[in-house]
Amino acid sequence: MRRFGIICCICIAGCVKPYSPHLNNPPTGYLVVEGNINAGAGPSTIILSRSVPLTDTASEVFEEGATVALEGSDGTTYASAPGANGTYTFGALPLDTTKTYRLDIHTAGDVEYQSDYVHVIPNPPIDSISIMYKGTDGVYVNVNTHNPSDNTRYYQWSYSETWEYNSAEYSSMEFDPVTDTVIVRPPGNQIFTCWKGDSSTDILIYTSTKLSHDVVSEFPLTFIAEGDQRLSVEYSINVHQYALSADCYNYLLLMQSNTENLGSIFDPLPSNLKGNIHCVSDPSQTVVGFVNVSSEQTLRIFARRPPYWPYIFTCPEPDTIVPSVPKGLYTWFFTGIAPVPPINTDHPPMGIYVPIEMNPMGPGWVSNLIECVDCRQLGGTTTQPWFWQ
Amino acid sequence: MTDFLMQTLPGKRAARRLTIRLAPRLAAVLAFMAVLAAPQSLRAQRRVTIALDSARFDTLVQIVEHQAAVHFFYDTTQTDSLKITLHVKDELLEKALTLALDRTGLFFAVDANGNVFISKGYALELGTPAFQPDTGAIAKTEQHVNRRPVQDAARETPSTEEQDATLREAVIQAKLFIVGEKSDNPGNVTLAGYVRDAKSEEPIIGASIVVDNSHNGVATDQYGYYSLSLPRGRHVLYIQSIGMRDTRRQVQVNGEGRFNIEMQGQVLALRNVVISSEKASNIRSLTMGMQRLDIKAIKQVPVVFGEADVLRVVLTLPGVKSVGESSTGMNVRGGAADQNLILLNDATIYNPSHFFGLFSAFSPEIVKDVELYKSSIPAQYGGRLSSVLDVSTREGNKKQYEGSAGIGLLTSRLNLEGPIVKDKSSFIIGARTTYANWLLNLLPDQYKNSRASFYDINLGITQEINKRNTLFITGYLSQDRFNLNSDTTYSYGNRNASLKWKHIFNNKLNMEAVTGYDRYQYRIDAINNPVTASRLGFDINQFYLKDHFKYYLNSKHTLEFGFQSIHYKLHPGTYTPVGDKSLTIPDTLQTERALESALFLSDEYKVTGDLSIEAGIRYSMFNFLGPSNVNDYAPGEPLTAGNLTGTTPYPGGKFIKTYSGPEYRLSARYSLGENTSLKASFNTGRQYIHMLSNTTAMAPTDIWKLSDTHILPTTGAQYSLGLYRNFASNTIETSVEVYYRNMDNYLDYKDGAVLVMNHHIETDVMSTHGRAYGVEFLVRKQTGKLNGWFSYTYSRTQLQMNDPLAGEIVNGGNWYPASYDEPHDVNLVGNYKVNHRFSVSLNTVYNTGRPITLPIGVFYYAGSERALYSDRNAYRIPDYFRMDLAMNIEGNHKIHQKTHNSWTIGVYNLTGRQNPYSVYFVSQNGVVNGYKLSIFGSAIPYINFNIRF
Repeated sequence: MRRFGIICCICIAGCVKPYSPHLNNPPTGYLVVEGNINAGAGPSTIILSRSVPLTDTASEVFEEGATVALEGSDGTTYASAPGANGTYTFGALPLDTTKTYRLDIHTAGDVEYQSDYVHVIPNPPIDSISIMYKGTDGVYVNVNTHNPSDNTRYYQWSYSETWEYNSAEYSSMEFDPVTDTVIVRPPGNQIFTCWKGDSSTDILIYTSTKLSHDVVSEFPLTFIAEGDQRLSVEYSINVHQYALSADCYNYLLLMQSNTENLGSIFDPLPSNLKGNIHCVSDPSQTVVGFVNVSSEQTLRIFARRPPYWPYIFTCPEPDTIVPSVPKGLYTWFFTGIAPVPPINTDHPPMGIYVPIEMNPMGPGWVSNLIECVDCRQLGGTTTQPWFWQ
Repeated sequence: MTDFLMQTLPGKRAARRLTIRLAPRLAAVLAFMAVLAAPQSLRAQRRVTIALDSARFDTLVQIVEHQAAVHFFYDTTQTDSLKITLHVKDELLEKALTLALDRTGLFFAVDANGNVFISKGYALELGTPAFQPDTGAIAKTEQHVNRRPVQDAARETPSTEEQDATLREAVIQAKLFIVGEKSDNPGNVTLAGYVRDAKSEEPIIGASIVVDNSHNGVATDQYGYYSLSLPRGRHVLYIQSIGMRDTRRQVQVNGEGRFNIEMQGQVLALRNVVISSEKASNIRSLTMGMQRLDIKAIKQVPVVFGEADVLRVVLTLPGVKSVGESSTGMNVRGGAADQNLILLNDATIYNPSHFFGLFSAFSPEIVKDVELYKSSIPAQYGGRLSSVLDVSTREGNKKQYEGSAGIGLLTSRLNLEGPIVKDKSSFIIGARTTYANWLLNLLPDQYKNSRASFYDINLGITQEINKRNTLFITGYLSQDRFNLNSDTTYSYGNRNASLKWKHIFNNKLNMEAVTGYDRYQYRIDAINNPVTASRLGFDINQFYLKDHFKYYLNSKHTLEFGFQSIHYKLHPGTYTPVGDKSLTIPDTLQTERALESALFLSDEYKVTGDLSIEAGIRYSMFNFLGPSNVNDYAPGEPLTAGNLTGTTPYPGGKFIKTYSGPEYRLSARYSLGENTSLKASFNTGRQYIHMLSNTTAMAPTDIWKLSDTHILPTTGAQYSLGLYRNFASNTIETSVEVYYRNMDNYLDYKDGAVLVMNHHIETDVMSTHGRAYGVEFLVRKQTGKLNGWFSYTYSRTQLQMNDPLAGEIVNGGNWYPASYDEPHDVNLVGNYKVNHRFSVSLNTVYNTGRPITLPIGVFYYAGSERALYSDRNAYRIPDYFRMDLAMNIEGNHKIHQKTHNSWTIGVYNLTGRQNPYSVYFVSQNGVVNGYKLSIFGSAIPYINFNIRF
């Protein structure tokens, strides 16, 4: 009986297989407008790009050479400065909360796009960002906020996270390729401590309309599974909070359900996204994006490694003594370039090695594979971010 | 039987026959055992001395009965013209009879009790080979006629039960029943009564009763009741029903009267039954596009986890589709899932599925049969556009207590039935529950903490007050609860209770009055975060009263008329906080109330023997009732939240909005010979309650909405034409039906619609036009070792939304396929009985993949690549194919054992094909990935054990 059960339930929750159908996607993409108009102190950046066919492996196609301006209902106009990768940046915008604003885009192809006029939405500061344990599964990073005047109600967050981590072994020596010898590692060349970053990839929105007060309680931004590198030394998250109009919230909610929450049995059907940006000459043209104006609130927190966080970087190989003679042999270990003519040895290098310290027992250096010694091998950088504390 | 208004001919034998009929079964069994033990000694003692010249057969009978202490059973129509000349002295009875019947075409058989059966053409078999006349000519004829039956009987060794039944059948068929008071008035009279199963007294539905091989025939209704108009005089009634032995009754109809008929089950097939032309109910029936499935047929079809499933079998019928495997939402001839009126007896079932749609809500042990009307819908039904699925439950056994139990991988069921007062009232109760959590625990981690459970309970009480009045009480309760590894628990259930009174005024007029209460409710609890803990509740309540009269005016006209009224009360959403810390604002959507009433009249008119017409009209009216605050919108503007100008309050009881209109129900049948008929029908309908959904599958949490000031009733019309032809003595039925239908004010959702807790839901839905057309082919064989059906359907269903005032234009205002538009659909359901204890069933399904909306590109937003969608339903998922196999193994067929058991072993999705349920694109870690999801992506073996006691 149980055996039957195992067979039959393997797929009851769904056999999910990758699928790539043949689709007639139009080659020229639709305009995609992303970014929040910051009504607060900081600058605002709008990114213009184009949709690409689904089957296309090409990455983002940016819309360069456009003119992007913000127009107020009172006739004021603010121009933006184009930057790299389809970015258009406004300086600090002294927006009037009693007025409405719209975005006006002139593409290089001389097609004009305009958004609807939108209000400036008040955005309260973030109260706190909390790290919440979920049993032994890991931790949630949650955001909390509230607006005592109860008039924000719709929120969006994005975040960038940065974390410090170490390599398995600390190296006090380095191989100097100029002199082909091993020297004492200068402090500026340390490869034990690295920093790595990532940013949010989900649409993080919430509405408090169903609550009696405008309160956001423990809204989960991300989840760090136990043993993850992010909390191995120290973790920092910088959260941006935007206040949304109800329409913008609904737009993002639909985008979220279209693109993130699919795959269950009772899925809503994906549907057409209709934002508040229109092509002036062809109103039926699809334009992706929703112009929203609110101040931006940010909060950064730091978190040390939680007690007993089981992140242990162990080296797969034991330390190796790299002999100091002949030269060709240690060069082979430290650069991976085999000497010519070849040297016969019982223990050839299994990769590239990094010297750790002098061999306390005799000549040569205690060394190990670069993956165990150089933290940059795991994708980070040894440059400490400016905000790190 | 004992309530017949009848005499028997010849009169003095009445008492004797009644004793046979009522003798305890055990006595009959013992008698047969005696016969087997010492047949010769008994027979040897019967000797007669006869001297007759040109005497009547009756005289011979009198003499022989006097001398040999035997009793004759015969059909006087076969003997009244005989002149018997016979001179024997102290001769063996059998020898004397052989001589007497020489060259008359009559045969005789004598049983151990001294009963002599006279029959025409062949001798009755009474377990042991009958005595055969040894006269040469007759012996030849007889061998010719009788060889096969004798051999078959020897091979299958009929049980004593069968012999007993055969005996009773023989007796009853040979008898002449006299009905009514003699009268000299010429003209037709009405004969009415019930056709029942002799063993359980359950009514037999749809049995055909034909008078004298003519075209004059009727079928019994759902209570096994019939009413037949026929000329006074002597008639033979031929009675047939699927699964029962064909039988006939000889009646002398002198006046109006009641005549009940009992039929013997065909479980143990009797071989010498001649299959006649009248099995052809599909040819003779006026109803078009109607399918009836009895539970025996349903149980043979292999289904997932081996749980016989009413709805899943209905889905194999032509013209019936669903969007996917885990969905019991049906789409009949292009109708939406909410356009099917699903009735359990008389109660409306809003959610007919359990456990994410894997099981239907109807317990197979309780269901008697299922009728699906998809083209000509009788005028008595209304309120839904597409179809009526009428599920009837069994009545309890009025004679003895019975029970059954079944154990499956996921569910167990138990049912009990029996008399409350013997032969007068009975009860039946069935319950089913699941223990599926073990299965969920084996799921991948993602679903590890899921929980699901359900149960359902059926109750039926039948009380026969007297011959004219019968009461039926039915109750139904179902409950489901599940949580899919989240902090949200879903639960839903149906509650139904009804009381029905069937009253027979006279043979021509009867009435059924029903009153009842239906409720469907669901609840969603999300309680993990104390600050946001909440509960969402939804329910539909309806209280109804129906009165339905049937008047058999004469042999040409049968009228049906009546009224129905439903009072609806919907609580479309109640959102409440849970716990002290919850900040959830209680929010309640306004209660919706409405009254839906209808009057109907229909006439079944037999114009000639070949042409019949059923014309019906139904006038329905819908009143949206106060108290309610109705949203106002700027006139001439689309219904959007932005155009909402305010609300107008209406007091309680006020008719806020009334919709009404006629619905026409026309159908006609024309016979093109005995085995062929042509039928046409035209139907219109109106629907006042709508299900709002933006999911593909019918979800338990879909919202139902009454028509109101802003949401108009959906209306539709269907035209269909069909050709029916039967082959091979009507054992093979074939049909072709074509249809075209259109729908107006069909509700579809707008992009991004919010359907839950929406105070102005009219802004999130839009009215569309719909059209559907198709052709359905069906070949069906219901009897024999190999039975089943094959169907092919080509159909299209399309919607159009091109009115900018009614909402957003979809797909540029062009016709777009509905999400259940699956043009090609092939089903094969086959069952092969290897022997009485072992049968094999196969079910094969193929259909075109359903339409889906696929991305027209990807874009980068909020840190991730995302899919962009445009035209609705422009692509299709891959085609669907599945084959299931099941083996049914019965325990032995001995009648007298405490329990009977059976096993069902099978494999669902034999080929293990991973049929996609859906195809979707999801942004994961910054990139768009396409996936296809299969619900049952491998072969699923199952085993089920059933026990009957």
